Amino acid sequence: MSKHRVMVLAAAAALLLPVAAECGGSREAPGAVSAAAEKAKPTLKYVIVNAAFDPAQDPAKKVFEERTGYKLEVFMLPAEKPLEKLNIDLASGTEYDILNISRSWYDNLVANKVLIPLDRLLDQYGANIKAAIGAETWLCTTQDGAIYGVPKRNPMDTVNDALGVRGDWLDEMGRRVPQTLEEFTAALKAFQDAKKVLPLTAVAASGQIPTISSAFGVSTYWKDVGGTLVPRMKQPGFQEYVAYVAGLYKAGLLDNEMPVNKSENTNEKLTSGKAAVAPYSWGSAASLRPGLQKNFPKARIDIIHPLKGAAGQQEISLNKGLDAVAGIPRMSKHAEDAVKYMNACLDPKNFKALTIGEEGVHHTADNGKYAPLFPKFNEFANGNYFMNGMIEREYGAYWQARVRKNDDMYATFAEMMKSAPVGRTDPTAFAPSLDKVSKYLNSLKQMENDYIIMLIAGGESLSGYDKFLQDWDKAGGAEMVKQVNDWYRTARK
Amino acid sequence: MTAGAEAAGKIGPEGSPRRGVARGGRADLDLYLLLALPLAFLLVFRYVPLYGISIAFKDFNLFTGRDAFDSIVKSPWVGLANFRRVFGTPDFLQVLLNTVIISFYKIAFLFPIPILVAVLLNEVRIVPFKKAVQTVIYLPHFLSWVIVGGMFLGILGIDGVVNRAVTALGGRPVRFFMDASVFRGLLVFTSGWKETGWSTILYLAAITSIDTQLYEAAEMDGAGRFRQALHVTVPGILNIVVFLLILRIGNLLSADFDQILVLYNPLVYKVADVIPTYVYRIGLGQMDFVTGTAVGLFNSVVSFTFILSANFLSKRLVGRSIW
Amino acid sequence: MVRRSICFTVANAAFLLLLALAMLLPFLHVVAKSLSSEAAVVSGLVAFLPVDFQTGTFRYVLSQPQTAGSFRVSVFVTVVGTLLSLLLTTIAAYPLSKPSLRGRKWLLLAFVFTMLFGGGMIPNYLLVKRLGLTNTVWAMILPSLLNVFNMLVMKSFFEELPASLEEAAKMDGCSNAGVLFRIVLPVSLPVLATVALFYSVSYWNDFFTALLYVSKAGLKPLQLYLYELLTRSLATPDRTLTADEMLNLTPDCVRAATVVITTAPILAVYPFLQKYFVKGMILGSVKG
Repeated sequence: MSKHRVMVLAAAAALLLPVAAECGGSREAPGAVSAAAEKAKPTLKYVIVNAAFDPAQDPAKKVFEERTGYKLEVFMLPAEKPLEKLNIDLASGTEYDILNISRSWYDNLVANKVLIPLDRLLDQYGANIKAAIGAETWLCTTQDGAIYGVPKRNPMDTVNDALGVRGDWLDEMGRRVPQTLEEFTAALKAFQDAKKVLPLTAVAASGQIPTISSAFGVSTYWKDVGGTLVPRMKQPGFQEYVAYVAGLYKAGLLDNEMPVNKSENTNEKLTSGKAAVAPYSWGSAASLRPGLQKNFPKARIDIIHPLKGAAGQQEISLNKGLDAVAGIPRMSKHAEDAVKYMNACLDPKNFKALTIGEEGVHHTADNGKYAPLFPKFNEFANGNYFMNGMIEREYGAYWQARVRKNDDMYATFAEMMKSAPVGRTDPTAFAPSLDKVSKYLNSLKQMENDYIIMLIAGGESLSGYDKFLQDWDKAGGAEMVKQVNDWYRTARK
Repeated sequence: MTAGAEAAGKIGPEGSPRRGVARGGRADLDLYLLLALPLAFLLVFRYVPLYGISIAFKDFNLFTGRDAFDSIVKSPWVGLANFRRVFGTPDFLQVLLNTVIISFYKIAFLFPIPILVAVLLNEVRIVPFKKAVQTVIYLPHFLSWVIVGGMFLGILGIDGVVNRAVTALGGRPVRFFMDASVFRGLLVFTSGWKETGWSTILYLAAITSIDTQLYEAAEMDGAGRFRQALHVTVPGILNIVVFLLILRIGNLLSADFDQILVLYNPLVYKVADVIPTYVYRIGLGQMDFVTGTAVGLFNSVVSFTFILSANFLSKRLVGRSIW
Repeated sequence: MVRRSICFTVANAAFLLLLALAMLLPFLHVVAKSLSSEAAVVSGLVAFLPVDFQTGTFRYVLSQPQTAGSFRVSVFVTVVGTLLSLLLTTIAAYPLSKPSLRGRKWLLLAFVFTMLFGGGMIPNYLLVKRLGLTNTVWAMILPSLLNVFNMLVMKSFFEELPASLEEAAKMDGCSNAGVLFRIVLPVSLPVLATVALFYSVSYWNDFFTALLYVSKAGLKPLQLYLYELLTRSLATPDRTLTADEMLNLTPDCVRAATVVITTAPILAVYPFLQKYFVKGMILGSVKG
């Protein structure tokens, strides 16, 4: 009797499998392409990086679909191991049409010859695309004479890193916001002696504090020194920078917990009044300033601009480069339509509507200054995921509307951009895919950061610096530098 | 073992011929039928994918063949080259050592605690209190290390509660997170805090399953609570204890990647860098199926060897084993 | 004698109370953060009680259309998965607990082997795809149906059962399966409850399987959905934030709220199962 029951259960389980799989299968989203619907525009399988919104319900996506006439079936990559997932999907033959991905993933796919060259398609269907994107930007996605992706560059070359200082405390001590390295050191000492607070705090992950390294002539990772591109650890001034910061650490002027600090720790130290100077940026201003205000209504955060060095050095890295790249994998069955979709997005008639909507409804335009109208403007919060490339001449202005989302954010942004004149861009910002860079840059950066921390806080002496550089070379650094410079020589002709 | 245990006629750890061997045939068929479905599952979902291990011995590229499977087949063999790339680095020996040492500390210090707590909990007579404590102590298991790490940084930081107490008493602040001589202790402590409660669940269930007759018999023999605990409770859960210990030893090479990644920093690499964090750091940003598979295979082989040995030793020394 | 006993009881209670508090307080801290204002959270003002009490964060996360849907998915996967797993685990553990089973050693070895050796991400992905399970709810259940550790736990418990229990039934002509379902299981409630707890926690918390096999938003379990809500827009060593991402960083209070939401339901399971941890179930049946 019970044996019979077991058999029935086992049989049921065996039956359940395919039936349930069917059930699951029939929950597929509508919009599958059938041969009969050839005349109608096919639904494009569109891949985006991980983001916190539901693409199926997103209002921006609907606007894109209306204006271009193409329906999008959006696949969002997971937050963990996204590149692995994407690669496995592609290798298994999944027919994605458009991949809107980051620069480094694009490099990976190009190296594996997964993306198709787009030149012919762009000539036929991509007039708007070609008009919208500048020659310099196209260089990034041109490999062996063919174009493999549609690049979207940063809306503006922005200054993204700064230090925030308690302006009210400076007032109390009768000091102005430090502009030179000397003033900075003196201010830190004053904070320690007079105010008895932690002068400067920093995070572990950065390895390099841009506001300070500016005084040593170090800003971007790669720098042209006498015609060759030199990575930061080998740049003149870098060792001096590290020695300086190590000195701050020993004197207790730099937070001794720096090696374990994450951004939430430094944020907390600033807003709770424990620290005088902390990493600060227009991205974090929106939550930090109110936080500080809440605890200390009279407090004020001022921006320390990149410091000037003894010999007049002053430079800060400008965030120039690519936001994203759109590529079409060779598995796609609708390459032409994919290009047509991208082309429609960059049609001047559509572009503004797709990015900041209609004037008077979603935004206001005041002499070329765009500002958002809430709450409708939020409909476009995620529009950038569906846009491939951008009309470079125009978008910078539109993007300002997004920064104006929040007053604190915008005020800080405007203030930080005042140092743009001393900004420098990384010469490799628009280099094409360089496989040695893709392969080694991240682990080398990690290695560098670790070593810098050991020099600053771990008691390592600078006498070992040359040995470190040798190890760095052996770990792939030498290969990387060579490839970068080979490209640089040809690019400058 | 008290007289009571013998009387209850337990089966015993190793094959005792109490079951009718004569009836073996028909009875066994029934049992094999029950095993059929689990074995089928095992075959399909666990044994079939094992061909992926070959990736560790190949120069693998996902796009070599027509599809992923084809790529695995078509990628060329390179013998032990992949292993040499990871294990041949000069730092690896230290990393391996760290892994083993930290794991050993965790077993030595943290294995007995849940057992003790379970036994103590069992002694609680006030049921609501017992249930409340039971429910609360396993809460930390559900918090991720990101949160737990941040929390401990706040408590044990240079400026945290503990150090403030230390300085108030006249001592110097202890740099729990940055002092290499203290860091392993930090790992053990935080791990214990997080997982002790969860580990007690299994022991509590085991204790609950002990025949109450045995306690009554012991009480009649004049044993107080302490001796009852020693002579009834502990032997009663010995099976589970040995089982868990064997598995834990088998997993000597496994390290809590999440914990260490969140808590460590360059100042303590030399004592806390373990195999998974090391591999993660040197291959940062690269999608690397090959290294992952190679390291995984190494771990698997070592674990398997350890488990077999531990099981054998356990059979010899204590008379109990997994098989 | 009695005094020593009271002393012990009090000391024991004190120790356990301390332990419980040590485990509880951090959790209270997270709950407090989720009910406080962002400004208070960022400046570290929140300890164990909410500051600037507000339920806005919860309302925000819970009102996202996807939250309810992914909650349903998680519940389905957990309930169905646990039930099926319990069944499969039981019918594997019971035969393996019989020392007389021929080939027992090799069968056990075969099971344990799979605990340690795995094929890796690619073959598993291909298998699931080949079986047609991608983007179905079964992809989150079937591959994890049997956990060998849990099975071994159950086997351990079965081995401890007195032989007399089953012999009585066997003499009445009951088959093995019958003994299992009619005699053994009713007295094994503690281990069944424990294994059920283990499985449900593992199904509820698993998001990696979903991550790999499910890309359809409607099928994402709660853990995955909220994890993504939390972790995107975090600069990692291999990725700096784009300008647009800097505009959308997640507030800390939202992070805290997601922790509470994903943990709360599963916490309710254990108290529910506690009633099965009842002593002395064995008592009655042996006498017969």
